[in-house]
Amino acid sequence: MAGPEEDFWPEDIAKTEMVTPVSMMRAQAAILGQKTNNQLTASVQPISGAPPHFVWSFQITSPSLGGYRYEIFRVQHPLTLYPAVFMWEGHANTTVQDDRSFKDFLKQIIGSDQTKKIVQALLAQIVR
Amino acid sequence: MPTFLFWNIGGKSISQLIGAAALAVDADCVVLCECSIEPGKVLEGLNQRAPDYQYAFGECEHLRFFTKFDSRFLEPTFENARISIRRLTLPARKDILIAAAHLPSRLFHSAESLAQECVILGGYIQTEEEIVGHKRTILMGDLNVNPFESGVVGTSGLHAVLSRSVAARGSRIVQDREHHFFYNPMWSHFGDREDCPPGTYYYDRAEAVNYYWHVYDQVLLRPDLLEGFSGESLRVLTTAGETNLLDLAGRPDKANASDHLPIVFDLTF
Repeated sequence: MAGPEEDFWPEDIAKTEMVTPVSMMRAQAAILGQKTNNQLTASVQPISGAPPHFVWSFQITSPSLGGYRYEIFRVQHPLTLYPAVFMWEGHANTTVQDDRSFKDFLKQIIGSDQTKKIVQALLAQIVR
Repeated sequence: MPTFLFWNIGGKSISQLIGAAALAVDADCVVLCECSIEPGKVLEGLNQRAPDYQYAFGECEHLRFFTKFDSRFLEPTFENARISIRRLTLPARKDILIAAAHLPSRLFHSAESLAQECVILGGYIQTEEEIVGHKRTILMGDLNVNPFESGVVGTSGLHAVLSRSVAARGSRIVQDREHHFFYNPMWSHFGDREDCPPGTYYYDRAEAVNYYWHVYDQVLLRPDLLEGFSGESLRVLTTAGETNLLDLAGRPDKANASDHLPIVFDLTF
């Protein structure tokens, strides 16, 4: 006779405090529009075709340049999120093992002179 | 019909040679790779006879575009440091996408890494094709992989085949997924042929398998553009005007020109 199905799942299966790489990237992307009066915006786009990894592209968009998009960096990670690899032009690929290290390196890219130069060049192009 | 010139100039200050090459083939669009020369200086070379050429805006560090037509017709849509995808809208012609790429150096990246770069490049191109709603796309660049390598040939990569008639099928289904072809005419530019170099780049490596000559510099075309492309128009240049781009050993003269040879082709669209 069939009884009630047993539940093998742990009680805390749905509880997680892990922050995903893409959510951290999107949070930073959302801020750029505010900082530039929406002359530039940023987004995080999935790049297809590189299984078994997820690949995300951090892109700056200029609505007034016909929707022109410029990719600042890419991040690749497995289903389990870490280790995640940053691919940032002019720098060796950087692997981070957890969300704290991810946040630190993301901060380094966003705050870099390299990123600032691109943003300022695009803004200059808009007002030209 | 517009003539396109692609040249990896290897970071050399050779604006006069660039001008000589462009003028010799009457190029309408010049795409320079590894160009650290200021655009104004390049224009001095390109416009040595007449003020014909313009610099076409872009933020891609590795690729610079110059046009004989109004540069506003060549609008960048997506770029990163190594890839520039642009929409070319010339009057009275169908608009096309021009993708240019300089993939990471083979000297510092494995074949597997380069294959993955091809996959990602293919993804960017597909995204732009979906945005514009057509597949009239050409890709030119220093891909740092040969036409026969998996990143160029594979379905998840650029899916570029050596046969025009195969490419003309448009696409094929593999594992329930549709994959669109590119045609890669560069296969016809391998090895010794009369008056042609055996490749576009020479590298002598002390290891068992050594091709010596490579065809890293390539142009790939979607089937929708094949009708306006003649393989005969595709040339690997060995001279820039009166200047020989090969050294005494018959290899790219990297001392006086570049370690890569330019490629040029015509396209009607």
